[in-house]
Amino acid sequence: MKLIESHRKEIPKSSWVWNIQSKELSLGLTFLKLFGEDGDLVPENFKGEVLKAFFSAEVSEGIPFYRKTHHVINGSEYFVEWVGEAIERNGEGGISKMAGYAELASSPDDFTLSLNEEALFFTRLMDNIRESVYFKDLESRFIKINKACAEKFGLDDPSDIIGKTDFDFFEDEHARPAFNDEQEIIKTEKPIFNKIEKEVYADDSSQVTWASTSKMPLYDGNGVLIGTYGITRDITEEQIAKKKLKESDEMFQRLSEHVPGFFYQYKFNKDGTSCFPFASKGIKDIYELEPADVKNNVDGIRSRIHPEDRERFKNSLKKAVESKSEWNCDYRVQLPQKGTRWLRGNATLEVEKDNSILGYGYIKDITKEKEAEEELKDRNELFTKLSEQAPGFLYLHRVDAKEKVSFPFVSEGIREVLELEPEDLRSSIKPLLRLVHKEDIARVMKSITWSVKTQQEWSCEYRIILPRKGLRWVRGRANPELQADGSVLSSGFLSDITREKSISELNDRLRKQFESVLDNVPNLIFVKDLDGKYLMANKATREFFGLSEEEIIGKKDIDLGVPEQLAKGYHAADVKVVKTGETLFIPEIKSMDSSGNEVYHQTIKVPFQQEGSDDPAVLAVVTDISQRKQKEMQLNETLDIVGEQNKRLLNFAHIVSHNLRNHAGNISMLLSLFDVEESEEEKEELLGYLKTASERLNVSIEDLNEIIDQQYKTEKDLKELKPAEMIKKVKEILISDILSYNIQFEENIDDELTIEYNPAYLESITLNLISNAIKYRDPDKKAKVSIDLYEKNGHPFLEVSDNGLGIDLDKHGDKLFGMYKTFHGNENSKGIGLFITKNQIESLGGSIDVESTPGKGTTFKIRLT
Amino acid sequence: MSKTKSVCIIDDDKVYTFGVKKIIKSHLPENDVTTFENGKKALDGIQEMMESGAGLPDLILLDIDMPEMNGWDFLKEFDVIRSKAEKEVEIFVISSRVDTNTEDLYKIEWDEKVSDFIKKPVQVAALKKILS
Repeated sequence: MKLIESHRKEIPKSSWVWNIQSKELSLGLTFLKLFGEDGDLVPENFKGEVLKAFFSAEVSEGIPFYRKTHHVINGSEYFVEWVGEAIERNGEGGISKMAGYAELASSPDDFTLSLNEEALFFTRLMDNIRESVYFKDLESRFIKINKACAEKFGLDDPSDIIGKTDFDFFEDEHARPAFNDEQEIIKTEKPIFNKIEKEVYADDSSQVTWASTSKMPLYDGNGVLIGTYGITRDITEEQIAKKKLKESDEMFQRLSEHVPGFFYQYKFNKDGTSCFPFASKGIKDIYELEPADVKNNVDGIRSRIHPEDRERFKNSLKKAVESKSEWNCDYRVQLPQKGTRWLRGNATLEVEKDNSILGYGYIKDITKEKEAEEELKDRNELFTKLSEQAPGFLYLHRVDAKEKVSFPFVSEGIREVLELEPEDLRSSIKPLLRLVHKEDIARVMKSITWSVKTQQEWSCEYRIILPRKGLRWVRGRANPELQADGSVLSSGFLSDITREKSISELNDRLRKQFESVLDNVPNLIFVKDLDGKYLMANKATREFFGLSEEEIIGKKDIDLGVPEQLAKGYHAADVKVVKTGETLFIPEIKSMDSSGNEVYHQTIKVPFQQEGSDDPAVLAVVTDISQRKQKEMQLNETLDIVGEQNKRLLNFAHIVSHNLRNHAGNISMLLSLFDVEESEEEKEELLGYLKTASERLNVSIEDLNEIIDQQYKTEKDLKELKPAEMIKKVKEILISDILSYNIQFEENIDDELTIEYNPAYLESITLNLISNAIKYRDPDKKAKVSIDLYEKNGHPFLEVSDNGLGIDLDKHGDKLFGMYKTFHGNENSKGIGLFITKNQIESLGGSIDVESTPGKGTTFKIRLT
Repeated sequence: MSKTKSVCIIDDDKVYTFGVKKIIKSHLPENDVTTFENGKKALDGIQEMMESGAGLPDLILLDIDMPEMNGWDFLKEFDVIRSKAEKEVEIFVISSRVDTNTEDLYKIEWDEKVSDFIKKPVQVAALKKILS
């Protein structure tokens, strides 16, 4: 705004007085002069037009009166400006009379106030606005400020501001950029509009206000730049409100991310379409969609809804929209990942100004609840059907998370069995417990609690006393299941077994007779429970321990002097019997009798059902086999060598067959990899491994064949043989190796030596020794093999020496004859040949020794018989 | 899908280790596999891994019958390393020695140290289950 001196101040003015109450307007005598020579022509309705303008003006004490009217007189347009102020008040303090002057303005655009008027008007205006207005000189010192600004700075008199700067009122944080802005305006003469500023006050830095500021260059009457002026609006509240809105938005976003389920805002447009302006991330879980998928339309969700529920879903929505109230619906969806799920949706609807409807709602997955509900329904149906035929009664027993007990279902049979009505047990177990025999109540309650707690099957037989029928035996069985809501639901069956029980009493008598039989057998017969306590022990058992019945019953093995190790073993066997429910046969246990003699027992253990108790127990029948064992041991000593050999062979066969399985497994693994492999290079590599694996398989099969052969060859097939001839024969077999490796033989052979021997064994032994000597030759030396055959001390000896690689016997001696536990079918194994050789020699009563030095050679010395 | 695991195969059967490594690479490529041909080499290798800061493997597939140091001896030695480290290491014994007769025996002795005993030849499905 530029204060420009009016060029029209010479224009004549005329005074006017407006009586507001009587609506009378008096114009001064000079008024008509405003219209020049045509003053006479001012029409009658002129006053009416002016009054109309006056009526629409706001009349108040503080604001200078200003109005501009427009008139057409004789085809010419006139603009009249009316400026004035209140001159008279009525009794209530309202304005009753205004007065001022009027003057002619040539056009609406060209109007200016006289300098005085302008200044007055401007000052009033400035002081009456809420925004701060201020003028500053070229050094950003205040020249003038309005009232609002003075209030803001805490000044009583606005003129106190003169000479001060922003730095007197604000912290640098605000004052510095404000100063810079002003200097920039002075330099460039470019205004700044609506800049948001944070104002920090110098006297109280905790006081922060937000402001929107416009600043402009200030010119004097001659158009010379003399400073800046500006207007600042406080927007602190606006800013706080905005910030809060943003925070609450974020908070909601965060909240909705952590709450399971899906929050949304749903919009039904007037054109029948709908969309989700807001969808929380939960939509991923619920619908397996992204919020963006439903931003503009709901097709994605519509296709997810289960076909059977679509109609119902649509109707529920329609109903909610029509009544403009709440929407609630349980429905199924079919999701690509999770399949069919049950959802529960609800929303509150609001009608917007444009008649569209907004819904705010939440959808959660209730599949688990639904499943439990369905299951309960199914079970109830099944129960009702079953209970019509079953003797006894069926029931559902529920213990909720707060341990409140109820029977959601009890079949009719309860009238017969317990003489109660089904409703009696609906909400309490007490009517049933009241019937239970005093001696059984603790046991019954304990077993039920245990079953509910562990969710293990409940099974219990107990006595009840009925008002009419008196003492009865009942048997209860129930299967507890933990439900999704933390409660335990047991489906059970309770039946009257009094008749069965009376039969078992008869059995009791028979049992007594049986016990007397038990006492007359030589076997140890006893029953122990799972704690290891003796429940029954026959005479033989008592004699074995040298204790009376009282000293045994209720005690454990360890109390009876059984060594801990053995007692542990016995107990483990009992546990196994109970666990498997099968008979256990223990062929042999070594222990001590009461006099400290070593005894051997054979034991049979069977699961044992105790009378009147559901706790498992084990019956053991123990036979003393010490005498048999003694004989067996004597026999074993003679069979030891043979047995040892057999064991070794068996062990070997095991290892080879394991190897077979490994190789076959490897081949199948490689083949399956080969099938899916695409790269030629990889296939090539696989083929390489496949070849290795199949070669090893071949070796293992050959080994196995050799063992099988060995088992079928009987060592008893003895003939008169000359080993010298056999040596010759073997050298012929190996002729190609001998020639190609240029083996030199040194022989010292008794040609006439005759032995009684198995020919196949002799061939195998000789062949193995000589071929080994060739196989493990030293490639850097000329290979020499010497063979000695001689008789010494009545025994035939065969010695084969070489100058080959030799073996480090300290390291590998025990492995040399294949005595190692593992057998590796790889290149460094040379076990099988020597292993069989040793077995063959020993089976015919001979022995084999080896001497070897690495790098020098090896000598095998065999005593043939 | 499980996160990256470092898997260590200790077995002297090169064809087997090659195959298993390949199965792991093709089905669960994010796993990182190291192989050792016996217990001794595995111990040295694991020591080295610890010293280099790579840490213990997550999973060990261990054979029993191996030259130099067999699986049981390895387990005994490894226990010392394991008790010092805070990391949990799952060990599966995979051997042709495992069968219905021996499994119970092994379990009695080794159950605390070994997650499971698996009979060789091992099935691809069983391997995947272990790795998941």
